[in-house]
Amino acid sequence: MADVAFRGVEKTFGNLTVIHGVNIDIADGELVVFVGPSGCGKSTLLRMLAGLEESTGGNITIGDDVVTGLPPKDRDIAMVFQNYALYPHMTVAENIGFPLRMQGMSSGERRERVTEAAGLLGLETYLERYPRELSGGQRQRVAVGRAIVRKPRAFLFDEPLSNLDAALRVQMRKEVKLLHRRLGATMIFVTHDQVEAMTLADRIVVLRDGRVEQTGTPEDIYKRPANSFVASFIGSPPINLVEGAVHTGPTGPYLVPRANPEIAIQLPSGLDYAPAQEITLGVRPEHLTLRNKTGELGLEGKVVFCENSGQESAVTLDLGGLQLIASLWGDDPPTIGHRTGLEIQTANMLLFDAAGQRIEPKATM
Amino acid sequence: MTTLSHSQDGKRPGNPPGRLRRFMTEGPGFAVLMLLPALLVLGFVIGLPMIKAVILSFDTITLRRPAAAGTIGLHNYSRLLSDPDAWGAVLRSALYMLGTVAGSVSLALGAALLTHRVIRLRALARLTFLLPWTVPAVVTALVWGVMYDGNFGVINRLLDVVPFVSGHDWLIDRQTALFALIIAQVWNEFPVAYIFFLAGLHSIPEELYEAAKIDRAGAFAQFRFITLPQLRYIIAVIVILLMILGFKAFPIIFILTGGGPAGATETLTVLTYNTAFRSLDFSYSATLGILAVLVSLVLVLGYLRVMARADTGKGGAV
Repeated sequence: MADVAFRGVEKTFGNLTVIHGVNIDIADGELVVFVGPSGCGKSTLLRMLAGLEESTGGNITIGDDVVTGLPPKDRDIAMVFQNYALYPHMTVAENIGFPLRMQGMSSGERRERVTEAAGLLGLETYLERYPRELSGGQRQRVAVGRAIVRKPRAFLFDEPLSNLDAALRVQMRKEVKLLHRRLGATMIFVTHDQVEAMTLADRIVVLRDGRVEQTGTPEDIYKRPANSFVASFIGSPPINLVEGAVHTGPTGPYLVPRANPEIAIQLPSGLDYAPAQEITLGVRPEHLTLRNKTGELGLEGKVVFCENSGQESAVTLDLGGLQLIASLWGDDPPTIGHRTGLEIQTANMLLFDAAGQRIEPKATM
Repeated sequence: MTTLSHSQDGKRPGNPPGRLRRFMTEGPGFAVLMLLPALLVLGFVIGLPMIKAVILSFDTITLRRPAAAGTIGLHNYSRLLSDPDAWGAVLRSALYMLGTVAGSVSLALGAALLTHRVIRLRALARLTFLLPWTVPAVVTALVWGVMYDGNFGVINRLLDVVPFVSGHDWLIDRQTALFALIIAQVWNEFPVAYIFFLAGLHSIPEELYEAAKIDRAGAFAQFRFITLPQLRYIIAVIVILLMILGFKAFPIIFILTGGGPAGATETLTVLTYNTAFRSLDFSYSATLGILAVLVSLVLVLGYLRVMARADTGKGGAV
């Protein structure tokens, strides 16, 4: 196992730059997830690390070796692909043993290692089957088996769970996490699914348009997003972002939303607000509370939409043109058209300046 | 529509006219009805001559001895079994077939591997390899005939610059004539295999090669463990197709050597022709033709078997 580092890595296709001087450090044994919307460059970065794409600038190191420019076979990494990339004409045993065969390992030793990897993944009874005779989850396990059998310096996963159904995805997610714990290996996992990122990662790297927006633990990313993009990308239901101007009244600073200037939202005090400063207020749905009584500043909304997932309901409220989503746990969801009071917990508010960067609080409230 | 007509004329479905109509409109009768014109044409142009040839093979029709005409039963077949010329021709056909298959498959696979990843001038590169296919076999034969010419052929001119190699009468020498014909045939027919291989290579997922590269496979290992197994059914199909083409090849051999020198290139098809139109022994020629059909039939059965295996999904890139 080894640590991995990206140093000022760039990638251009003709005049188009898709990766802009990316710097990422991944510690030995860490499970890091690259997450971002489609086209953000996460898969390109992974493929550059694997050697399947050439970088046009910067350096990539694995352990003490600069691997930039080396062919994939000389990087000692293993990769699990989105479409499994199993060799269709080989049995499960042959697929898992293929990297060992390429290393020139004897068939006896190979069989031993394949059996060991298959045992780890519950594939012992499928060793003589062909990939076409396996389910999606089993194929994915074989792909993982082919990766772990080699004991490489780093494992790369390129959206490996995207083709699985929801239940299987959750199960495989757990298995990858357990595998990481068992092997203690350096793993880099690419996904566009923020739930996958949050549940799997030791650390998350959020990417947008070929740039790193933030690197941090799942808790950091969720609770202390660096900017409004990270805040909006991570979290489901998504964070409420309210643009408006800050004013100061007798009860302290408050926000007048641009979508409805008739209402005011109390803001945390203790921050340096310029007069009439344009900011974006971020409130996670779970930090909105519905009240029968109208709150101090008279916030009241009409229920316009409700998504009930059983244990949780995402309720969309309309506040005279400003729409906010609140999460309700366990409660009976309110009926559509019902008017309800609303309270926003100022302690959990996130504030972003006009450029979208989070405004750090200078004092606790 | 059918239901409506039943209710209108008051007849229950299932009675004889209804059953017949259903058989002809929904059942297998409809398929037979649609195929009938094509079957009739095929029966007329293929079936009839075949039957005629079988009948002819039991007769003795030799224009050199017209008076001897009549039915002689299995005589032609017993003559065939003990005819060294016929079995020599079968052997030459087999050599010709194997030579053209080996040459065409390796040339086509090489060309396909060379051009399938080409991005710039892709159309030109592919056109270059397809061009020989557009040349009629007769023209191919004439062009190669000029190239092979012992006195002014370009091949001997090129060999002049190679030390210790002298010019040669390629088509007149018994040792080289068949080999020279195989080269001309390969040049003419390898594009058929090239198209198949190109399509096959394009259907192999790129991810397999990427996975193999990461699994430390070099270029040769990728070819051996990914490309070849993935193309195995296409290779099987093309080998059998080329065997059929090679076995029944005629124009290039006939135009360049006519079966000579001294029968050195007389394959079964050429012998069949020579027996009919040079020796004017139509009945024995028909017997040789039946033998050629039987050999082709075995090859066709092999082809159908490979296709059936490919259809069951056991194939790679098919």
